[in-house]
Amino acid sequence: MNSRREALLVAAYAVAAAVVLLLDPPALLAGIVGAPLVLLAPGLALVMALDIDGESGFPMRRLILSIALSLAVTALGGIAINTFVPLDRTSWTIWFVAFTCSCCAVAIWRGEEPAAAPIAGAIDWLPRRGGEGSGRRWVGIAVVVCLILAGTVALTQITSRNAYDTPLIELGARPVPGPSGEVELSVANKSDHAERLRLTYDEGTVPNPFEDIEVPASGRWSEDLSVSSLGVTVVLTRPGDPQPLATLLLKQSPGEG
Amino acid sequence: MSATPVQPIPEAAPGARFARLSRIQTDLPAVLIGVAAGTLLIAIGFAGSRAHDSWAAWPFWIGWILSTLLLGLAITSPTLSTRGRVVVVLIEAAQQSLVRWMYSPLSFTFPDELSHWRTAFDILKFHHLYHENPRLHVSPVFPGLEEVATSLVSLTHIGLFAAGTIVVAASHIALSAAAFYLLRRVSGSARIAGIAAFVFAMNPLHAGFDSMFIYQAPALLLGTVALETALDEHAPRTGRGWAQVALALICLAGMIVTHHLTAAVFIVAFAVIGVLLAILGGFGPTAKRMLALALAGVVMATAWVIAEAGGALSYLGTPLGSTISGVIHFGSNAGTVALPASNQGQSGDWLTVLATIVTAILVAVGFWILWRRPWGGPGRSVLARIFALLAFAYYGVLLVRQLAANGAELSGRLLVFASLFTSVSIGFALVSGLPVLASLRRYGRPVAVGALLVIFLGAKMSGWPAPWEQLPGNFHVAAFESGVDRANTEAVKWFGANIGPGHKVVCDASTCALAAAYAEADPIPNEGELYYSPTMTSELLKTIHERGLEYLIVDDRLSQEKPISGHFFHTNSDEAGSEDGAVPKAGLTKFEDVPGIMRIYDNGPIQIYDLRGVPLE
Repeated sequence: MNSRREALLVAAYAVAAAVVLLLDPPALLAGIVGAPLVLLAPGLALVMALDIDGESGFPMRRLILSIALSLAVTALGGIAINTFVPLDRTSWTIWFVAFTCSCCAVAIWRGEEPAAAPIAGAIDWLPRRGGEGSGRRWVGIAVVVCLILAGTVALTQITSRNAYDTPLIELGARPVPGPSGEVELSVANKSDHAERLRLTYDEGTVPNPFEDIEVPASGRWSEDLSVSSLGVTVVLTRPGDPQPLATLLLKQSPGEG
Repeated sequence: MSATPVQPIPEAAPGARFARLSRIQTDLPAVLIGVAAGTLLIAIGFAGSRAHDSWAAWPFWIGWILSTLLLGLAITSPTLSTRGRVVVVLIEAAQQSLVRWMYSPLSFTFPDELSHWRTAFDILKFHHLYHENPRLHVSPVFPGLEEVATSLVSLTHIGLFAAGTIVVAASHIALSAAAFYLLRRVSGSARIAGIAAFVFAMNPLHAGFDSMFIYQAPALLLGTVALETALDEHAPRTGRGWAQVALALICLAGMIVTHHLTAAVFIVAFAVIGVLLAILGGFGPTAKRMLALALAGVVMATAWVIAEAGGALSYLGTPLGSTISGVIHFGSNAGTVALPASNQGQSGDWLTVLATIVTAILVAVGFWILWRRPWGGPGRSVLARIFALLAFAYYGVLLVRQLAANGAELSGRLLVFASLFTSVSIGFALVSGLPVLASLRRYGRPVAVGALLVIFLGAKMSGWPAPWEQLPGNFHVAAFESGVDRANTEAVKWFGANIGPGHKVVCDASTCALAAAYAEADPIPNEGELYYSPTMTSELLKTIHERGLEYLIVDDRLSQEKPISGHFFHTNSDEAGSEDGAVPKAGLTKFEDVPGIMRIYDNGPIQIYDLRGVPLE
């Protein structure tokens, strides 16, 4: 494959990726399609436009240069874009496609003696059949490595999620907008099972009736509460267990923050 | 130029002596599978640690040592092809990035990462750059990292954590290859370059710090590529000199808007290398190019500082000033030399000392080799000697570590850059050192692999994560990654969702990092006295009013342990190395009795207090 054809391919990819991304695909597909548009295509197009050729003893150099240049071009391009328009999906898409296609156009225009194509050159580092190993052997090795790494990733995700998801019960009060002086009392149950809980309100020093609530797993309960000048102590426990899970000390609000 | 006949570097040793070993070491598939297996062992160790199993450290260390040995055997092989060497350093970097993700797979947890999260979040929210970041003021004016990450988020709608992880992993992995190319140009030998790049990637902060979501990660790649491109003597010969300069300028510019320290170091490096080339090798095209690019770097950096990044001068100037002062006054302004880990008397400290000694010896041996026997062509020989000379910066870094306030952190940061030079000397020492004597030649590779393993283990003991949090899952209050758990994360998210952005919140170091990121708060991590004082004094009330403090977050666990990192709250640099104690229980409960202070949130360990109604006295 020569560099002119590669330049056309990169430009076509940039346009196709932009179209696909504008259709709002699922995140995984969007990531696979979009990541090279940000991290590879602009730099690759610039490498071709600058006619950086390969060099013996420096395998995959142009691929690495492409990644570095993509980072630089994005950093500098974003600063330029920010001066005129917001940095959003539209402006970024236009930037990446326009820059990539412009550089590809330069590469195609100047290509009198096309240097060895960067993509083909980068792919060339893979062992050939009968070289450092047969193709089938490498496929087998790749499968083994992928299986090991897939197991690694799965183990990490499962155990880290389990470790993080320790049961948590939150009791909070936020001011209700307006002059009422009320607060919205909320109980969040961040566990995998429903919780039967008891809220006890101690207004000043007088214990008031309690209120039993049931909060579903990963659910939330809330209620507006008036706070008198004496203040309110709200204690969250489990029925029959005097040990408080959480306690709030509420006074009349000084005003919105 | 020297008239000494050029001696070839032993790229491919004679088959007989190494035949049996070489089949194993250069079998890349075996290395690949072995490193994958090592990574799985590390993951098993992490899983065990999260479950608080006592055996967790074993698979963790076995996995790392197995991987390092396999990669070390491969990279020191005299018969491995150049492509194979690039693959080995790429595997090393990929493993580091994967392990970094495995350490914290659900979110960013290091305080600096959370600071950059805030900058990125603001870009996504406001669709513009340069919004104030109360936790890291210079971050918004060096937005390269966040621009790349947020552009990925904007285009693909993947989360910011996923985007940031992809960006830094790509930077980190590409950096290893870029380092190889640079060191190849310097040394003239793929074998030495491979070992040097491998050693570079083992500097203490590389695996655990430079692979984080921080602005140094992409900046290092840009700086290394710019330097390698500038030293390329092939491009001008093929008529692509202008393209070479353009490429270097683009990378320099990108680096300048990405990270201040990296830009400063690389621009100085361009100038110093250019001057030394002119002195040692004549004022040829390469020297001219280096000096011109250094000048261009200065101009671009000055323009950026004037236009947007004026705050960087004081941000860099303060630690630079205290470092110079400490060295000049022979340590009179020094804190301790230790990283937080050493404060705790970790059992692995001897490995750090041993690795330091080994590195110091190898740097000296490499210097001796290069300044006695020039290798390769004249240009490369001069370059190699220059890098060996600049490798003496390593000893300067050791001096900084000993004498400067906060020397431990500063030396770690400086070692990243010094390693680009020391790795060349070490590469020459490991390849050409022992084989100087024919009787020792057969021990060359085992000694080289042993040295690499020692350097690796020493880096693990003195690098990042700190030894007391090498394995995740054990919570310690205000202890960097270990200081983040569900309780404080959810508390902060509740605060952001229910109270809103822009409030001044007093908290410990970890909670403040979370509050800045997830609650868009203005965190105040340096009011430890508000916690340590057992009673609410009039001075504390005055502080609350004078600083406009609105909310305070209490972690009950502050009274249950001493700070493993030395401090729960931010301190001045001249207190680096000193240690605080646990917060007295009375210090945490005193807020309940103060009229006007409300407790508005409680999840067990974490409480949030509203200070806005506190009386003046």
